[in-house]
Amino acid sequence: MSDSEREDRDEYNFVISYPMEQELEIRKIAKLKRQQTNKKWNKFIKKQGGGNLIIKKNSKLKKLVRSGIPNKHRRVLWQSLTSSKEHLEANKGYYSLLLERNKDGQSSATKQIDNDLRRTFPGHPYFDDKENLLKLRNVLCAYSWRNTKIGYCQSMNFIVGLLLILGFKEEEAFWMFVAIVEVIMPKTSYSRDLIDAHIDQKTLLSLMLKRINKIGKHIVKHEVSLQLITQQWFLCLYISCLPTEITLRILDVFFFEGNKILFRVALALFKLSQKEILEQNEPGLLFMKIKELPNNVVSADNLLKCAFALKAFSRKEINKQRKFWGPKVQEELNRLNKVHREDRKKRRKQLLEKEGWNSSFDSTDFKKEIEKEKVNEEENEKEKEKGKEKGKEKEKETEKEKEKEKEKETENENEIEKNLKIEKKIK
Amino acid sequence: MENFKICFMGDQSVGKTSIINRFIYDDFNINSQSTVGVDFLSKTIFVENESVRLHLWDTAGQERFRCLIPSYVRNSSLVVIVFDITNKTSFKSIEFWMDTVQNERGDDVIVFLVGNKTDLEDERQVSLEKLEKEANKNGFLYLETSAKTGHNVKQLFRKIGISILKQNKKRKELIKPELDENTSLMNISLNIDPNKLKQKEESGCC
Repeated sequence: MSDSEREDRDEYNFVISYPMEQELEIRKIAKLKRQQTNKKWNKFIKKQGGGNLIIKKNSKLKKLVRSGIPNKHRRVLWQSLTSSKEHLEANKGYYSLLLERNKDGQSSATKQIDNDLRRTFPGHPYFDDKENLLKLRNVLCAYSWRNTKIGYCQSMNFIVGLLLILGFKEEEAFWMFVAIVEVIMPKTSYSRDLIDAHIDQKTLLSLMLKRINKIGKHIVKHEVSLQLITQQWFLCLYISCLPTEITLRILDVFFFEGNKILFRVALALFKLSQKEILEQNEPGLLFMKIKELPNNVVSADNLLKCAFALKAFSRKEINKQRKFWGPKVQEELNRLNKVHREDRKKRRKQLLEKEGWNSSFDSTDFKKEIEKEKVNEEENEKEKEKGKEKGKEKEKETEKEKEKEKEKETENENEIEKNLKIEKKIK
Repeated sequence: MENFKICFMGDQSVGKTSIINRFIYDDFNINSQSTVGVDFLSKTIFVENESVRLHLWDTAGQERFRCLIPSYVRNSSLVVIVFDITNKTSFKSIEFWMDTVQNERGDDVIVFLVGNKTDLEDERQVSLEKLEKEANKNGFLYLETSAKTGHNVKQLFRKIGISILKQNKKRKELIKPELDENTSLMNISLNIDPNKLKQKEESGCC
C-alpha cells in the first residue's frame, strides 16, 4: 500500500476527519474531472510555451481555472495568477536578507510560531522532516519581520503549510503568502484586532440575508453566532475546513478572482444544505449542523456550480457592505478594549466589597483590607521609585534598541512601499 | 437529562484541546492541530446519582481572537481557564481571560482554573501554591492536570459535574419558570467520531 492509500489519509496525505467512503467518492469524482479537463489544459500549456508562465487573465482562462488546475501545474499557475513570481524576481534576495538580518531574533510572533509549528497538519509525513518544519518557520517568521504590524496570526500556519506541502519553495511560498495577505485579502484581515476579518463576517451575514434570504433569516431568528464557525473558513481560506481536493479547487478560483470567492463558497455551502438547515429549529443542533457543512461536500464541481449560480455580486456591492460595517465593528472593538481596561479596576473594587460582605460583614476587617491595599500601594510606589533609578540606566539601553527597531521598521516599510509600487506597475 | 455548555480558554498551546481529547477519547497526541475556530465534543457523565451531558467547547488561544469570546461564552454554565505550569506567561494571562469572561458574563458563570502539563515537573515555573492563591483570591475552583498521562483529568470533569449540578439546583430554586426555556436552548446533542472513540461512552466514567 502506498502512502497516499493509507486508511486515514486523503490523496494529498492529509489526515481526514470524515469517513473513508466519502474520501473514495471524492477521489473518484476528482479523477473523472481531471480526465475531462486534461486535454484542454495540455493545449493551454503548450500554447503558453510551458515553463515560466506569464498569463493573460481572460474569460477563457477563467473558465478553465474554474474547472480546476491540474496538480502538476498548480505551483506555477498560482504564482502567475497572483503575480507573486514577478515579485520574487523583482525582489531577489529580499527574503534571504530578511531572514539573515533577523537571525536568532525573537519576538512574541516568533514564540507563537514556534508553538504552532508541530501543530500544523500533525500526522502529515511532510512535516515529519525537521528541515521542512524549519522551512515553515522561516516563511512565517520572515513574514512577521516584514510586517511587524500583523506579525503572526493562527491560520497563517495552515496556508503556508499547504503551500510547502504542494511543493512551493520557501521563497515562492513567502511571496505567495505576501500576495494573499497584502493584496488579495482585505488589509487588516490578519491584524492584531482582525478588523477586516470581523467586517467580512458581518458582510457575509448581510449577503446571506440578500442572496439566500430564508437561511439568513432562519439563522438570525435562532441567534446563531455564525462568525464562530465562518471566520475560520475565511482566515484559513477553507484550508483544513473542507476536504483538501475541494479546498484546492476553491483556491484555484480564489487566486484568479479574488476574495469575493470566499463569500460565494460560504453561501453555496449553506444553500446546498438548505433543507436540513431550515428543518432544524433547535439552536444548539442548528449550530452543529452549520459547523458540519464543509464535511458534507464530495464534489467540488457541485459546490462551485452552486456558488456561481448565485446572482452575481460585484466587488462594488461587497465594498459597500464593508464600508457600512467598518465603523460599527471598530466601535465594537473600541468598546471591548476600553471595558477591558476599566474592568480590571472595577472588579478589584467589587471583590473587596464582596469579601467584606461575605465574612459576616465585619467593618474592622473591611477597613483592614483597605489599609492593606493602601500599604501595598505605597510599597509598590516605593519599589517603583527604586526601580526608576535602576531603570534610568536601562532606559538608555532600551532607547538605543528602540532606535534600532525603528530603523528596521522604516526599512521594512520602505520595502513594502517598493513592492506596492511594483504591484501597481504590473497592474 | 440536562445539558451544560463548558467553555475552555487560555493561551495558545497550553493543552485545551488535549485535555478534552483525553477526556472524550482517552487518547493523547503530543501535537494536536492548533485550533483556529471553535470545536466542540460532548460526553455524558454520571455524578451524584445523576446523568449530566457536558458539551465541551474549544477555541483558539491567540489573543487576537478574543473578539469571538462574547458569543463563545454565551449560555455557558462553566468556564475552564487553562494555563501551562511550565509557562509563566500563560499563568499571567489568566487575568486577561478572566476579564474577557466576566466582561460578558459577570459573576454568572463558574470558573475553573487548570494548570496543565504536570508530567513536565522538571520544567515547572508556576507552583501549586501560586495557583491556589490566584484561585482563592477570586473564589474559583482549581486543579492541576496532565492531559499526557491523564493525571486528574477524570477528577476535573467530575468536579465540573458536581459544581454545575450544585449551581443548577440553586438556580432552579431561584427561577423555576424561566429554566425550561433556558435549558431547551442548550439542548444540544453532539456526534462523536466513532472511529476515534476507543472506549464506549460510559456513563460512570468518573
